[in-house]
Amino acid sequence: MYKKKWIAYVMIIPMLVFLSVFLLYPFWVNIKNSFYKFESMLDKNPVFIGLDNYKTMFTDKVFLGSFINTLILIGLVLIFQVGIALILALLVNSITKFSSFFKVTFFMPIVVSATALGLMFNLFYDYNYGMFNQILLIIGREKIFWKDPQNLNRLFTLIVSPVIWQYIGFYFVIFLTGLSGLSKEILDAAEIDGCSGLQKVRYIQIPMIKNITRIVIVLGITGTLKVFDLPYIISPNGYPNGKTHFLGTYMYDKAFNSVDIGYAAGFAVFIVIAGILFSFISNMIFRQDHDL
Amino acid sequence: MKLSKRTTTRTLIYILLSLWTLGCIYPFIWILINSFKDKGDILTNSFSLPIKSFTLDNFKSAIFGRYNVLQAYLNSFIISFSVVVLVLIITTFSSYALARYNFKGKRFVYALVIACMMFPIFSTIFPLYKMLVNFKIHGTHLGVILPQVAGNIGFATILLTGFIQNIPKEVEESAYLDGANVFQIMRYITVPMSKSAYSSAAIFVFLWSYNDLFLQMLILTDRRKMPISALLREISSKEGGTNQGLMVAAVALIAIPIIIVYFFLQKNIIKGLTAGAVKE
Repeated sequence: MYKKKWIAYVMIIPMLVFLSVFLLYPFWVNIKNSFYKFESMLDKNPVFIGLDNYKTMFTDKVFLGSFINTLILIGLVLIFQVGIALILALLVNSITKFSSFFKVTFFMPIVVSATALGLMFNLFYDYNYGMFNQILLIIGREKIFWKDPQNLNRLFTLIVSPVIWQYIGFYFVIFLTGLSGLSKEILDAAEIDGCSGLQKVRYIQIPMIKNITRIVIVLGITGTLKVFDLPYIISPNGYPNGKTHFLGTYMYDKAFNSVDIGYAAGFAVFIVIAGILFSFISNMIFRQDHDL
Repeated sequence: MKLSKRTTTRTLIYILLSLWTLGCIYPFIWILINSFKDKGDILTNSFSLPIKSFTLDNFKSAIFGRYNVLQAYLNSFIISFSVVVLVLIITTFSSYALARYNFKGKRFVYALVIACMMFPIFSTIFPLYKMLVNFKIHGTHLGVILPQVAGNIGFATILLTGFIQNIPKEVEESAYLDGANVFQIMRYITVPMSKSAYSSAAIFVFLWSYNDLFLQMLILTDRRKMPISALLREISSKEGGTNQGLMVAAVALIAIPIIIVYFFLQKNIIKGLTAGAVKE
């Protein structure tokens, strides 16, 4: 019955039209734009400048800063987000009661928009009435100016903590699915052989979900390269002086505040290439050690 | 001895997990209780229940004040509902074709769909913006709907294709022998059998569309057309510093409905997520 191939072609045409018009074509134009200099939003005659936009990037301190910030965030995401998610998944996998309750609550922050979360954390951080300062007052300490632009490390921590916190549940659920799919026999056999709980985790469970870990790491990296909403709301325009920009927020700033279209297009290309490169590297690292 | 050690470990595990639960839920509870308090109480007494100073003023000023939150909800609903319907219609056909037919270029199409899931919105936004201006749909709901549909097609196609592939072909084939055509088979057999995959896809697409700030913010500049996330950002940038009651109510208005919906639909959401992510 599946012989009439033309039906299949007709069926995928609407999808291909949408993808071509709203994704592939703009993506192509964007690559082209990155070799031009635009004078205004709707500049009809941009000037071809070759690789200049890309060269400027590597002398632009704010860009380099935003890149470093993004790299640091990737590191923190891999350590804390993925790490905590894995620990929580191992813990929930080891219990029998309430496991679906924990699943539901851990996942909850993901369904709330980053906009709402950003505004919520702004309420926590506020000097005059924020939740954090009220806690300090209750335990008899002085109030803190949380978003102090002098203290960049703390400011950075305040921006990235919600980003990390929000998506732990996401990776937790993926890990848990992987763990619950492992065969019971192997784990039981290990237990009979005198394997302790931690040994089971170290030598059986973690190696056996390596594929899942790889997916989680790739998702974590590509997701982090795209981060926008939360930093944009907690620390608008890279406050102070672009020091807390990430690739996404700085690109937005360049495209829509400075209207430097070609330059911003170069950024976007950079983000995509970085994403592909990082995914490739992490795939390689995880495929190399076969003996695990 | 061994037993008691086990019990302690287990208790410890439950304590840790409960702490993390608290960390996930408490922020929203804090928002909820403070949205019913007057400003003074939020400033000094944000941890108590809103008993002494119970008030609905924050919600009144958020809903009936200078910003029309109800209109924004309606806009959100129009946009996200249209996106879900369009995505499901388009992907019903694309996923059926990919799951059931063997045609030239199928592998390429499949790879293309996955590649399209990887593009961040930043890499298309500016040409897209220009294109929407040229089509004269910049600033309209359609201008948000169409790119969002394109952005969600990939995920929905992958999810549905994976699901349909796991349905045995035999039922379809016997219906075919009885004289049903492909579209009747899809209408009466395949789609009804894929209900759970459809609901997961629908929920996820809805969530992403509802929560997406970037596109909404860039394409809709008229406040009356803004969906809820864009309007909230607008409120916070205009009065966030001074009007705490309004801010708390605004956050509650955007977060609480979606959390309530989440609790009703959580099974489909979590199932759909793992199906989508692990298949990738």
